[in-house]
Amino acid sequence: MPQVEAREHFFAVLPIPAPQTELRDVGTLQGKTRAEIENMLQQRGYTAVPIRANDGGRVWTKSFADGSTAAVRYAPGNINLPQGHAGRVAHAHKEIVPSAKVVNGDYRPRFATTLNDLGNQSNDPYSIHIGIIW
Amino acid sequence: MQHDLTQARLVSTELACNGEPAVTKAILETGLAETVVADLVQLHTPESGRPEDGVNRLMMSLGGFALRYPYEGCLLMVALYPLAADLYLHGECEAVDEYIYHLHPAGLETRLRGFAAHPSDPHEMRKKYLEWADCIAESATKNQPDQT
Repeated sequence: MPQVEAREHFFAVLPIPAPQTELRDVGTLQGKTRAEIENMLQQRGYTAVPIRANDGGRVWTKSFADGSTAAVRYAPGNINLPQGHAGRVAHAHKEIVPSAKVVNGDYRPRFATTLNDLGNQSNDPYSIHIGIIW
Repeated sequence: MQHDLTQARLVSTELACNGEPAVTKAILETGLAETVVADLVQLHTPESGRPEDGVNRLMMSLGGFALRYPYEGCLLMVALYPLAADLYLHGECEAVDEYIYHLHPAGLETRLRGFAAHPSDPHEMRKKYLEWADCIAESATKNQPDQT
């Protein structure tokens, strides 16, 4: 099997981690209100803590047996950022964190793997900031 | 004995002024500037305020500075990141990501790869340094003039 083809085959058969499947099953958050998102996460067994910035944002987490945790986090947006920055407006994030790094329902941002709204891994700020209604 | 904040005060003044940030540049040449950034947080923390407020105020100041001096501004943000992360300040950490993404200053990629290659990683930042370095490399490729 050619090397590239073999590598693609290898990734194709890798199972999708449970939290990633969960964050896909949550459905898209784009355009939803905070209340809609909260109700849905609560029904799916997530628990929430307020974020430390005290700006009304929250972190919702749900742990899995594989040692990782699915997280949905939202914030009102940071108006101090320059125009054009994705974080200026109200947004949500979908993230996966090692459960061992979750402390009192929150985690240090550097331990998170960021996903886009479809639940695929991404580092693009415009994909990982999911616009919501505050 | 009281900790000497003289150096941090000089940097703080340069962050707010339009002049050449000579002291800041000199400090950044010597290393990651973790100490001066920790001192800057202290200086930006209001009396009886929380360190979270200090990080927030400093980040605002660094934002304006980075628009004038992208390399130095982003490098100070890189040093601030673990402090913000240890306080679980997701917004400030995201802001650092975004400034690096938008400004992707020349020279920062090499510096970040150097930090990542360092044998010790007390703040568990290696993955983050490489993520930023890759982001800058990608931006540089995207912004190359069309050769065809």
